[in-house]
Amino acid sequence: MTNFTYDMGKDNTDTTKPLNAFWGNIFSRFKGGGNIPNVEFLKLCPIFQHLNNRELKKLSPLIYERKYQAGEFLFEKEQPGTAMFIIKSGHVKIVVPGHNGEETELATIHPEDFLGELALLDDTPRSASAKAVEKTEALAFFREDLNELLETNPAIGSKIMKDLAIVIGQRLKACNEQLYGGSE
Amino acid sequence: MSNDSGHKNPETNADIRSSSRRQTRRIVFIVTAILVVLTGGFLVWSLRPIILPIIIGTLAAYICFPLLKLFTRAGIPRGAGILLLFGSFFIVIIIIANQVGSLIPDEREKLILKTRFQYKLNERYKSFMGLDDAGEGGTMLYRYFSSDFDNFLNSVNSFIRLDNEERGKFMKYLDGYNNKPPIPLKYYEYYHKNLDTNHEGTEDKTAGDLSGKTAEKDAGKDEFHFTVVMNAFKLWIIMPFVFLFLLLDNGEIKRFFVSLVPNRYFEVSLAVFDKVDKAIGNYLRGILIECSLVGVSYIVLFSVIGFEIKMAVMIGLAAGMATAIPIMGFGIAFVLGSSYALIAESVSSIIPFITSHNLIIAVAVVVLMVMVLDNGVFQPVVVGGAVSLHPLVVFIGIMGGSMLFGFAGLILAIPTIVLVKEIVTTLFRELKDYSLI
Repeated sequence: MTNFTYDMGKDNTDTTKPLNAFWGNIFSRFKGGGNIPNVEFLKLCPIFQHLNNRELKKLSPLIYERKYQAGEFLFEKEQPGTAMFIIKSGHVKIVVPGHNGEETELATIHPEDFLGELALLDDTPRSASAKAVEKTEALAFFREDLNELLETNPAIGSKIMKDLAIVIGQRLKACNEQLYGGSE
Repeated sequence: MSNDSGHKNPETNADIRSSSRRQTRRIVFIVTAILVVLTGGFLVWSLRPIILPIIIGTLAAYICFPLLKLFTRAGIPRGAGILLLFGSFFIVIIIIANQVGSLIPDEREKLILKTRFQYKLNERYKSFMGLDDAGEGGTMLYRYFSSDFDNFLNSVNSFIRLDNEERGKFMKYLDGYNNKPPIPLKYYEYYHKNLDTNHEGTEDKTAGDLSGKTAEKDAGKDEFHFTVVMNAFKLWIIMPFVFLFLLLDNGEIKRFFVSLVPNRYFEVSLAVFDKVDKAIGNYLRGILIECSLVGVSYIVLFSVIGFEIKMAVMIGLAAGMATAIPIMGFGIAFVLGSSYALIAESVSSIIPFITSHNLIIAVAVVVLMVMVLDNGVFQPVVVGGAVSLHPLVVFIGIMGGSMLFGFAGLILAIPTIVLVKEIVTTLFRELKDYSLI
């Protein structure tokens, strides 16, 4: 596996950091993970941060729990996206497969981080693959469930959409800062 | 990664372990899938009497899902919405059972209908063939094929004529029986004419003798009817529960099945579930609306051409329901409509030139009009082109379904084929999109 670097001479851990602005959870308030119920866990996700306990309880049945072995893909590049994933335990690497079978690592996703949130908006193909580094537990939130929430519980759906827009906007800002800030 | 062989060996061993684990998983998955399919097939076959109530309960729930969403959106709590729908479902079932029960002819009306049908059929036959009351004369066509036509008519007569027991009952109802009004004398004349046609003049006498015997049988028959009703009740009681539990389900069934799906197919399974669910939901709701529109069109148009309201409603309901089966609805409407046109005594149509003699032509026109309306307006607007089946598939499906599962198979063959077709096409399309095949 080859880590993505701007400067091939730099240390790997340093060189992956810049792109974490795009892939990593830059909003994470809690670090530590642990075996906590889904409702409590969902509170940690910025996209659900404005939902109260009652709303989180309504959301909780829509969440799928998945367990991945090391090396298993959560999703692969070019596949249509249908769900967003929140990492409950374990680690996931964002990789881009190269022509010769090598993978370029873009970022590492830690517990309580989330990935693939753009799939909540439409089914455009994934821009990279997500691969479990170790045994990983993830929570998945399906786009059509969000659409249904918008229909049946517009209050919950609109809160999620608003937070999703904030997340995407913040990521865009962070990316811009990293791109143009680095060039200055 | 340029490590020595001492570091490479554990990796190779890990690869082998991982590969063997994958293979074991695959074998377990295939064996489980085969067992599930075999057990499912065995259960479907063994429990086929309750398939129809289960499927009807499921369909009703499917149709009600958007209503439940609407209630939730309007701020009605989910539990209250379910209660409301369940209550409405019960009320609708009771009303339908009541209305259909009142529309279905009772024993007396069945005897009258059969008598009328046989009499009118023979009368129309004579008039069409140019025969006089004594059966003499006849058109050129009749003279050439008289024996063939007569044989055909005799076989129809022997099929529809009243048997000994029915004749006994007819005689009893003639003077009023079982709190029913006496049969009008006009039909007694028909009855006699039919007996002459059957060349069984002596039957009248035996019919009188038989009336006593049939009375004894009545008590036993009532008991038999009670058992039939109880058996039907035992089977159909499952329907409201299926309806209720499906409405109560908050995605648990879907999540259970998705949890069985390997990680590699997780997202594709979600996409397939969603698309199939939407397509089937739209198809079922579309078909329900189409059937209702076709049924209402028949009721209105048959009433306009002069059918008794009761008969127009009966034929409209039957043809409307049969519309779920392509081609079948029109066939049923035409057969039932023309049968009624054959026995119609007096026609009170708001269209002046329709009489009992040309009523059958009006029936054909009505069926044609509804066919055009259905194909040109109802289907494109409500069902859309989402599900189109080849006529051969429809034919084989109906035949196969009725041979395997009887009436339930006949009714459910097409929706089942549509379901399977939708699952297979969506599955393959999504697997291709996900580059899995």
